[in-house]
Amino acid sequence: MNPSNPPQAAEYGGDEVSAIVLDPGYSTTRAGFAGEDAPKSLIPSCYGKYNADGQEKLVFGDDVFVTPRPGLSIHNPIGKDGIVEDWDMAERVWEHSFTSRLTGTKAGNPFQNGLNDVSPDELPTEMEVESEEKPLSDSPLLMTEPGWNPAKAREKTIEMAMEKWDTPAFYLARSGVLAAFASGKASALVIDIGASNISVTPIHDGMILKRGVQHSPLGGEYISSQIRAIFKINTPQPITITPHYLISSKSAVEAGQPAQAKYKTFPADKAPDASYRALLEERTLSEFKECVVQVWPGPTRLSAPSPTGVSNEDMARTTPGRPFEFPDGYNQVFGVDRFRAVESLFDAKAAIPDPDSPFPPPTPAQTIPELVKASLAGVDVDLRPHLLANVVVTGGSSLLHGFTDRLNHELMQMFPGPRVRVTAPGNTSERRFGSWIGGSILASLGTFHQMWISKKEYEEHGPNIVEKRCK
Amino acid sequence: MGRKCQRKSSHRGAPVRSHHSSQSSQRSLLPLVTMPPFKDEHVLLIAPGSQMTLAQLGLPETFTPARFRFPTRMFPAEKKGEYEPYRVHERRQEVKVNNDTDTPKPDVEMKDAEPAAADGTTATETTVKTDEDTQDNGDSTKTVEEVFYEEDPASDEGAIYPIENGRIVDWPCFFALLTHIHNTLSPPFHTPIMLIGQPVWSARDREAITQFVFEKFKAPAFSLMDSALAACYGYGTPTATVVDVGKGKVDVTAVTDFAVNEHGRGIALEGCGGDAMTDRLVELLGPKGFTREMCEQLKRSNITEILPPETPLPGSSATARQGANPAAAASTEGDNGDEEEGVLDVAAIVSGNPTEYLANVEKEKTTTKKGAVDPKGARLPNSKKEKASFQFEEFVQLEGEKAAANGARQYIRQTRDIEVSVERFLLTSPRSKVGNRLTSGILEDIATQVHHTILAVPDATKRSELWDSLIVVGCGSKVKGFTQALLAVITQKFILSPSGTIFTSEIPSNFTTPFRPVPTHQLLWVNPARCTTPRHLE
Repeated sequence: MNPSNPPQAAEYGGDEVSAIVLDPGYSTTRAGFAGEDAPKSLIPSCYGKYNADGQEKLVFGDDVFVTPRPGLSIHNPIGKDGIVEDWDMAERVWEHSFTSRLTGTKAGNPFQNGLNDVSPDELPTEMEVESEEKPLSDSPLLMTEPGWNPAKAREKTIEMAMEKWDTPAFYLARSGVLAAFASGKASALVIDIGASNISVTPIHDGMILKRGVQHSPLGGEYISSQIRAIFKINTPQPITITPHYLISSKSAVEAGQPAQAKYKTFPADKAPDASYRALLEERTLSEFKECVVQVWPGPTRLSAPSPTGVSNEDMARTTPGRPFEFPDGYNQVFGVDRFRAVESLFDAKAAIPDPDSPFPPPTPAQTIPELVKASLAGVDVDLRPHLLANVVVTGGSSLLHGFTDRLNHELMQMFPGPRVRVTAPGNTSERRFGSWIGGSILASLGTFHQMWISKKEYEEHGPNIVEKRCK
Repeated sequence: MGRKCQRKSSHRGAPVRSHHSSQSSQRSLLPLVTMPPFKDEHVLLIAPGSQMTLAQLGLPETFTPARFRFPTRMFPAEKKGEYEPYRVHERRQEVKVNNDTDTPKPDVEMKDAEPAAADGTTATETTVKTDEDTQDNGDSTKTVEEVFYEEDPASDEGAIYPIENGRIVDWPCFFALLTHIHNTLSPPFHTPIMLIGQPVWSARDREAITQFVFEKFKAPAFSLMDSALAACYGYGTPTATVVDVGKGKVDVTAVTDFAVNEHGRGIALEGCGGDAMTDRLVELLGPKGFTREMCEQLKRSNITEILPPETPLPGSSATARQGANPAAAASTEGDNGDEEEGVLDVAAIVSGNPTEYLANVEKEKTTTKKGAVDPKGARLPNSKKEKASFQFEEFVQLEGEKAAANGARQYIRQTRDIEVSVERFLLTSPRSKVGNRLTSGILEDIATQVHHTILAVPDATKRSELWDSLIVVGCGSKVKGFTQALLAVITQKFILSPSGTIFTSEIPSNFTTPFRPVPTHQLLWVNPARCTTPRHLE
C-alpha cells in the first residue's frame, strides 16, 4: 500500500491508522493513540487567561503551572459535576491535548512533505484551501463521557468532532464502562474517585445500567477543602499555603517553627488572579495527599471504638506521624489529622466543619458506602452478587494510601452475604488513566470496527445518531 | 573558539561507568532494533538542533564530540522546492572568449572548488556561459557576459532555518538538510541511522521523519531516540533530570530507569534558552551601541559569567546597574582601532589547511591579549573585576576594486577589544520589557519547571533521586557559571536540607516520604561536549 495515499474510508478503524482516544476529565485531559498503554498527552483541563499588549491571551497545558503571567486567571470549561459548561473553550483545551503531542498542529500536505516530486505547475490550485486542514482529518476519535452526561452534551460532542475536527469516525463511550474494560471485566461495579466527583457505575455485559449510576461531589477537591479546614485549626499554628511562585527563597526551620522565607510581591495591576493562587495551592495539596494523607484502614470507622476497647483515634495517634514541608519551608509532622481529612468520604459525621469552604457539609447519602447501596438498589437483584464480586476502583484520588482496604471493609460490612471482591490496579498510571486505557483497548479491537460512527452516517442522520449508536 | 573538551567523569560517588562500558551499552541497543548486526563504523548518528545539527558516521572508540557540525539552515535554490547548503551568489562578469582554441578556459574559481576535507564542504562551481549564439563571429576573441555561481559559506543571508525552538517549521527544508548531511557523510549501503529527536516533535512528526528516512535513504534500520534519553545514555545513568538548554528554548525531562516521563515534561519552554540571554545583553548594552552580534560574542566570551544569586557585583552595584559611566560608554564605541589582519579568503579557510588557520588565529589571539591586559586587575578573578574586555571579531565583506580583482567574494576579518562593565554578569536577570512573565529571570523559570517535572513523576520514590542527579546539556548552558547558578536557584527555592527533627528523631512510617530531596548534588554533570569542535566560521 502506498503510504502517501490516504486509506479508503471503508478501511478505517484502528488497524492501519491508530485511533485517538480522548478522555477529558475535570482535572486533567488525557489523549493518546489507541493500542498504547498510557496516554501520550496529559494536560490540565483548566486554562489560563491574561491580557498582554491589549490582547487577550490564553495559556494551555502545563505551562500554566510554570510561568505566572500578569493578571493571569484560571478557568475550567468543565463544571463541578463533570459536564462541559463552556463548549468553545472545551474545544480549545481538548484540541490542545492532541495537537500538542500527537498530531501536530495540522496534518502535513503530501505535496509538501518532500517525498513527492511534484513540479510547481502540477500543484493543484486548491492547495491554499487545503492548508487549512482540520486537526483530526486522518484519525478516528474515541471520546469518553461521564455516565450522567445529558443527551444535548453528547450531540454537541459529536458535532464538534465531526465538523470542527473533521474526524472520519467517532465513538463516545462511558468512562465507567471503559474503566471496567481496563480491568478486563465486561460486568463490574466501577467506583471512580475523581477530582470533582465520585461516582458508582454498574455495568453489565459492557452496557451501563443507567438507573444505577450514582455520583456525588466528594472528590479530590472536596478532600482538599477538608485539608484546608485541618490547616486552619492546626496546632501549634494555623498553616497557610504559600505557593512557590510567591517565594523567592526559603531557609530551613525546625518543625513547627514559623517559616523564614523571602516572599515575592507583584504590583497590584500585574499580580495573578486569586484563581491562579488557588490552582497552585491545589498542587501543593495534591503533593500533601500523595505523601501524608491516609485513609483509616478500618475495619471500623475512625470515630468508633476498636475491638480492643481503645478508640480508633487513640490507635491512630500511636502510629508515627508523617512529615511534610510546605513551599515556604514550614514543616510539621502530621499525626492523627492525616486520617481525618478523608474520613468523611465514608462517614458524613466525621466531616471537619469549615464555614469558608465552598463545599456544604456532606450528607450521609453522598458518602461512598451510601452511593454503592443506592447504586445496587437501582439494579436487578440477580445482578447484585455478580457486581459485588467485581468492584473496580479507578480515578486518581483513589490512590490515597489505604483507600482500597477501607473500601473493602466497608463493603463487607454492608453486604455480609455475597462475596465482595475489590479490584484495584496497583500501578499508579493504570489507576489514574483507567478509562483512557479501557478506551485504548476498545478502539484497537478488530471487532470494534463496526461500532464507529462514520462521517457519512453522521451526515445522513445528524448528531442524534450518537444517542442511537453509543448506548 | 570553544573551550577545551572536558568530561567530568571523576565526581566522587557518581555512578559513572567507564567510557567503555557506557559505550557498549549504547551499542547494545542496536541489535534490539534490527536483526543484522551492524558494524560500529557504519552507524550514522544525527542530532538536529535549532542552530546546529551534529552528525557522525561510525561510533568512535571513546566519547568524542560529534565530528561534523552543520548549521541547521538551508538556502532556497534557484528551482523552487530545492535547497542549497550555502548561499549562492550570482555574479555576472565580462569574460574574453577565444574561439580559435578549444582548450578549456582557465576557471577563475578553481581554487574554491577543491574538495574540503575537514568539514565536508562541497564547493561546486557552476559556470554558465551565455551568449553562445554570438560565437559565429569571425573574431578570434570577443567579450561575453558570463554568469558565475559561487558559494558563500560565510553568509546566512536568506537562510531558512527549518527548526525553530525544536519544532520543525519547514519540512521540505528539514528533509533537504537531512539529505545534505547524508550526502556529505556518504555512508556505505548498510548504514543504520540513528536520529536524536527533539522532545517537542509530535508522534506525527516522528512518523513523517521515519517515512522519509526509509524511503529516501533506503536505510536498513532506523532509530529515533529522544534527546533526553540519549543524554542519560551518554552519562550512563538510568535516572536523571535532564535540562537541555538550547538556542530559543529549554527542555526539562525526568528520565526514570531509562524511560522518559512524558507527563509533566517541560517541552520547549520558550524564552529560556541562549537567545534569551543575548536578548538581555542587547537590552542592557544596546543603548551603548552594542549590536546583537557583539552581544552574542560577548555571551560566548570568557568574561561573561553568571554569578550565583545574591553574589554582589564587583564595584558598587548601584553605579554598575546604572551603567552611565561615560568613560565605559566611550570605550565601548570601538575606538581601539580596527585592526586589519589581512585579507582572508573565506573559501580558503574552509578548504585550506585548518590547522594552519587555527594556528594563525591562536597567534593573533596571543598578540592581542598582550595589549589588552589590564595591569591592575590582572590577578583578580573575572567575577571580581568591574570591567573586562573581550575580543570582538567580525567579517566585513570587501567592496570595490580589491574585490573585483579576482572575482570571488572576499572578507576581511576585523577584531577589536571591547570593554564591558558588570552588565556581563546580568545576562540571566529578568528583562524589563517582557511583560508576559512575572518570574525573575530564566533560571527561575527553569528551576520551576524542574520542580514541576519532578513532581509529575508518578513514582514518588524516584523523586529524590531525580533531584539528586541533574544533567545540564546544550550550548545555552555553556555560559560560565550557568549550572552553578541554576543549582543555587533550585536549592534556595525548592530544596532545603532536612531539618534534624524530622529525619533523625522520627522513625518514618512504613511509607517513606519521598518528596523531600536530600541535596547531595554529587551527580551533577555539565556537558560541554556538545559544543566543542572548533567553530571555523560561526
